[in-house]
Parts: sequence; structure tokens; C-alpha cells
Amino acid sequence: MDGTSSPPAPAPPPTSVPGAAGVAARYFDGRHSQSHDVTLDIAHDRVIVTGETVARDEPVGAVAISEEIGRTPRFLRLSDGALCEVSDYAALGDLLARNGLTRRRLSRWEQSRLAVLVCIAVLVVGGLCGYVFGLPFMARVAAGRLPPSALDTLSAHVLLTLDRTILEPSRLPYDRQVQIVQRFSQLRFPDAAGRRVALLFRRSAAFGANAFALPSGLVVVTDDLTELVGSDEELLAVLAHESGHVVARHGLRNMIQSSVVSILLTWYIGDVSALAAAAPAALLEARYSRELEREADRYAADVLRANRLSPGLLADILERMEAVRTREGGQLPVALGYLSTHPTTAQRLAALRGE
Amino acid sequence: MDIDQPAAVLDPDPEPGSDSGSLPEVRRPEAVRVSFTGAGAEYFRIWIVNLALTVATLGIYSAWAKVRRLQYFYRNTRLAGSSFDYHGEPIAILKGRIVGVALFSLYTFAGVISPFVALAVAAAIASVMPWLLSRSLRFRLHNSSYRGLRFRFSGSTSSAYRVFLWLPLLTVASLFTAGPFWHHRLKEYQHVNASYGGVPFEFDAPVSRFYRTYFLAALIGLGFLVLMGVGIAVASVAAIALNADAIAAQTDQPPPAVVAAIMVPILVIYFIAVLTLHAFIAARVRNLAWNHTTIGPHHFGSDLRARRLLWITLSNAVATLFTLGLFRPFAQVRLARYATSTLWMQPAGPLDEFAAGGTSEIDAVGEEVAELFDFDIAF
Repeated sequence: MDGTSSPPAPAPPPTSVPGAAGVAARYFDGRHSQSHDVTLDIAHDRVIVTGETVARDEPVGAVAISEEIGRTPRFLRLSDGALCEVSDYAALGDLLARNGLTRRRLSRWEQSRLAVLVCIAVLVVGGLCGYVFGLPFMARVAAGRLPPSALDTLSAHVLLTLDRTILEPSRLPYDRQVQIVQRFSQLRFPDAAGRRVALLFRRSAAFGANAFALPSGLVVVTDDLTELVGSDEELLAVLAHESGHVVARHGLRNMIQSSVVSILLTWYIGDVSALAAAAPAALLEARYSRELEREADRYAADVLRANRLSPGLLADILERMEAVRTREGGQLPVALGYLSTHPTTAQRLAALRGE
Repeated sequence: MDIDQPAAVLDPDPEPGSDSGSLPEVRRPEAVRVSFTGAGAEYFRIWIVNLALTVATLGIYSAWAKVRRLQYFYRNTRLAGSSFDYHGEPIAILKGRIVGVALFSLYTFAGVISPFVALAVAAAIASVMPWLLSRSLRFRLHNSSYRGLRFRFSGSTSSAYRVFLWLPLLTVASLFTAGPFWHHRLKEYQHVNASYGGVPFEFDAPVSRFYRTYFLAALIGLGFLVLMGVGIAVASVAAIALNADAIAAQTDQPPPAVVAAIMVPILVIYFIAVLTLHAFIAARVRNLAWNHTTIGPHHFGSDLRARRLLWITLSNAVATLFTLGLFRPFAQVRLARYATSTLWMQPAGPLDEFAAGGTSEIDAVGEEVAELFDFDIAF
């Protein structure tokens, strides 16, 4: 510690230094790759480097001391670029501590069990908050900012693709189509946004009895659905639900949320596992989708009530659609509910009929 | 576990006698293995603190986290008694990340507006990407040091355009028959333009060896295709037999059990095939490239084994998935430990004659943009 007081003076050979005085290091002059074995010491606020071929000393303030990272070697860079590499990180840590050069907070955190537990807690809480509140909020704001023209082009492309693949022209009689459109146009919406909704009729074996909304406000109704409904009011209930998707820009929000979730998961799981990240991503995205379905159900209930219709109408048609699905495809086991993009019909019926 | 291994015994990629690689004779004096001294539990703590600070600062800390991560890995990588070091500036990396995120959002957003706009944006990004990639290599090497001297990268922009734009286009146009040639030129570009202490690396791997590697990879791929076909056939026969009445009742759509019987073998075999081919090509090309790389009178060698690499990546992926990502730092250390231990240097004498070259400042935009668009040029 205070053994070597005279700065550059006769360098004592490293072997003669007893125990605590100095730390073994390798010295490089910064201009050549040649390695010199040296002893490193700190005394009177000066860093002293001594070896058979080296005798240097500099004020501590002029020497850049690399941070402590795990048990990696540390580097002390002198003002002219010369370098001391110290593999014995523990001895150097002691030497620095004895001279009042304390460790940085970061490396203390990395070695404290408590700090690591706090970090895990921050990650879990931060992750959950981001997932439950942060991302849905961001997606809502971002989706709201997009100009309607962008929605139109986007929807036109989606519809074109669907028309080429799984949709066929409707075989519903023209009069019936007009009748449905008229009934729908008489529906009063709580906000002006509801007026953006326009109906399209298609036939589709793949979709069966169903309806879906495109971001621009086009709502596609399948022929099977018009046949399945018990009354026009039930059809209006479904259309009110789809209008809920349109008004709150659910399609876009879902798209934004899904892409952010998959990007973050791929980054977190990383490397070759891009494929492996797809499964948990699907799980996380399904919850968002169920949330949006519930939101559209609530919107539909509001619209129905405003038009003196019962929210139970939506429940009735959902039950009918569920019955068809059960008959055709077999039911999903309850455990798979987390994978489902829609809440279970039982939950939705309870929500619509209950309150 | 690594340094005491006689290197030549492990070489899975032996030189055919008359080949330019004079390694077998030169290797006789003590070859020096590169070694990695990091530990999973130790890196876990660094990783978790990095991650928590990144989340708490909404991603801004990620630049500092990257420097700390790379410093941990570089400083634990040792060759002939000295460690490597990384000197990237977090602020430079942060700026690069901001540019990268902006470009990436532009690209994503363009896709929402119209596929034509997206195409235009993608073309614009592709046209600057070679330049960015060469900047990326430059940033990485200029910020790497060993024994107090920096590495350098001097690849010209025009050769970057050749390697990262013209040759990929040629590869597609030639129906991928030019692929191995491209990979050769890519490795050559990376190695020949690198230098340490004023001495350039040299690279003399023959293109024919790249073709051989890819030919073998194609055979392996073919094997997987056959396996996939057999798997689907067996699974669907079994599923149809077990669900015969469900199928009889149903005409338009196949029941879910049959769909699952076809999809599951496809996905599982596809996943394993991708990892296998990746490990095979990565290991072969790595060995090939380093066995034909020299710096001054010193030779390098590599004996990475595809099977071991496959086992490590596959088990890492599974363990990472089942621990919700918490195994990731252990996985990275495990891979680094194996990958570094299979690289060695054959010095012709003491590594004393390297001298410093000039210095210059490089920004990190290239590296960060390339990373965000997931271009893996280490491959």
C-alpha cells in the first residue's frame, strides 16, 4: 500500500514484493502488442506500475479504470493509451477499496441477491403492466391517429384477397339484401362513428354463419348468418357487435398489439427460437382479442338498448351460432380457452343476459 | 477442458492432403486455444439487472446494457493470457438504435398504408443496407481490442454493395446455385478487410469447399423432406382410422384431429430441420473459414462440431422456452463457452510484433439498423 513511495525510482523486482503490496498485471504500451509482466500499486493517489522493463506512475485521476463486470479482468488505461490488464480482479478490488476508490453501484447491484430479486419483481410487474395497460393504451392512441384513407386502402386489399380465396358472391335475393340494409340504417348509434359502417353480403363455406368487420367500416355478412337468425332483430344485434369493432378500430388495434407482442417476444426469447416465440405470442395475443370481443359486446348492448331492443338478442344468436359450431366441429376443451380468440359463449351470454 | 486438447485430433474437417492449408505440419508447436471463462449464474445477474433497467427506462438503457453485455463476453474471451475488450460508446449505440427504430416503424407503417408504399420503402432500405452493414462491421471491429491494440475493418463501400446486394440478387436469379459462392465472398469480405495492429488477416478458402458443404446440407435437407412425408402419411392414416365415423359424418371440412395429425409432424420436423441445417452449415463454414485464415505468420484453426452445436442450440431453445426466458443468459454462456473453445491460434512466435495503426471514430447506425432488421452477418 504505502511501500513504494518514491515514484519512478529503482523498480523493485515483482517477486520480492511481499503479499499485500501490489497486484500482478500485464502491461502493454498501447502501440505494440508486446506484453510486460508488471506489479501495479497505488500510493499517495498515484498509480505505480513497475516491472523489469517498465516504470510508470500517474495520478489516479488521470488513469481510466474499467468497471467491474463479474469476474472479468480489469483494465487500467494510462493517459497516453498504455494499458494494464489485471486478471486478479479480487486483488485489484481490494487495492482500489483500500485507496478509497469504491465500486460502482451497478456492480454492487449485480452481486446483491436482494437487488437481483428486485429486478425480477420490476420485470414481472413492468411486463404485466405493459401487457395489460401499456400496450392496449398505445395501440388505441396509434390506431386513432391513422387517417381514414389508410384504413380504406388497407381494407380494400384485405377484401380483395378474401374475395379471391374464401368468399363467393352472395346468393341472397336482392330484395332481402335491401331490406336488411334498410333495417340497419334505421338503427340509431350513440355516436357519429357508427355511420361509417356499410354492409356487404357474401357467401362462404369456410366462415359458415358469421359476420366480420374490416377497419374501413365494411361489415361482411354471410348468407348462412341471414338464414340462421331467428329474427331481423337478432341480425341487427350481430351488426351492432361488428359496428363496435369498427367504431373502436379493433382491427387496427389488434394488428398493432400483435406485431408489438411478436417483436418483443422474438427479441426476448431470441436467436434461433423465432419459431419457438410464435406459440407464447399466440397465447398473449388471444387474450387481447378476447378483450376486444367483450368491448364489442358491451357496445352492441348499448346500441340495442338505445334502440329499445334487448341485449339478450345478441345472446340468442350467439347461442345459435355456438350450437352450429358444436354440431359441426366438436367443441374445444375448456383448457384450450386461453388459446381462443373469443371469450367462451357461456361467459358472453351471462354478461349479455345477466346485467 | 480445452487447452490441453491436441487440436488436430478434433478436426472434423480435415484438409485433403495437397490443399493450400498447411495446418497439419504447422500446428505441431503448441497451438493456443481461445477460451471463455464466463459462468451462467454470474451472467444471469448482469443480464437481469440490464433487463430490469431497460424495462424501467422504456428501452433507453438498452444501449448501456448492450455495452455491458459485450464487455462481459469480450473480457471473458482469452487468448494467450490476454483478454479481448469492447469499447463501443452507449450514446453512439443509442443514436443508432433510434435511427433503426425509426426506419423499422416506417417500414411497418408503410405496410399498413399500402403494399406498394411498403415495397418502395423496403427497396429504399435495401439500397442503403449494404452501406449500413459495412459500417456495422467497421464499428464492431474498431471497438474491439486485444493487448491494448484495436482491430480495424477497411472494407470499401463498393465491395459491400457487391457482397450484400449484387451477390444476393445473383443468388436468387441463379435459383440459389450461386449461394455457396456468395457465402464464400461474404466470409472473404469479412476476413480479408479485418486487421489487427496494422497486420491484415488473410483468407484463402477455396470456393469448391463451400459448394461441398452446401451439397451435403442439401442431402440432409432432402432426408428431412422424406422423413416429413413419412411422418405425415403415418400420422394421417392413424388419425383417419381413429376418427372414421367423424369423417363419415362430415363432408366439407376435415375434422380437427386429422388437421392436427398433419400439422404437428410438419411443424416438429420443420423446426428440427431448420436447426440441424443451420448448425451444420454454421459449423462447417466456421471451420472452413478459420482453417484458411492467417494473420502475418500466425494461423488459425477451428473444430466446431455440428452435432454438438445442434445439441446446444436445441436444448438451449427448449430450456429457454420452458423457463419463460430465464435460461437465456445461461444458454448464451453455454454457447459462447463451446464456440470459443473450438477456435485456436497457431502462433509462429510470440505475439509481440503487432503495432498500432491510425484511429478513427465510427458511428453505430449501421450496426443497430442491421440488428433491428435481423441481419445476422456473424453467420
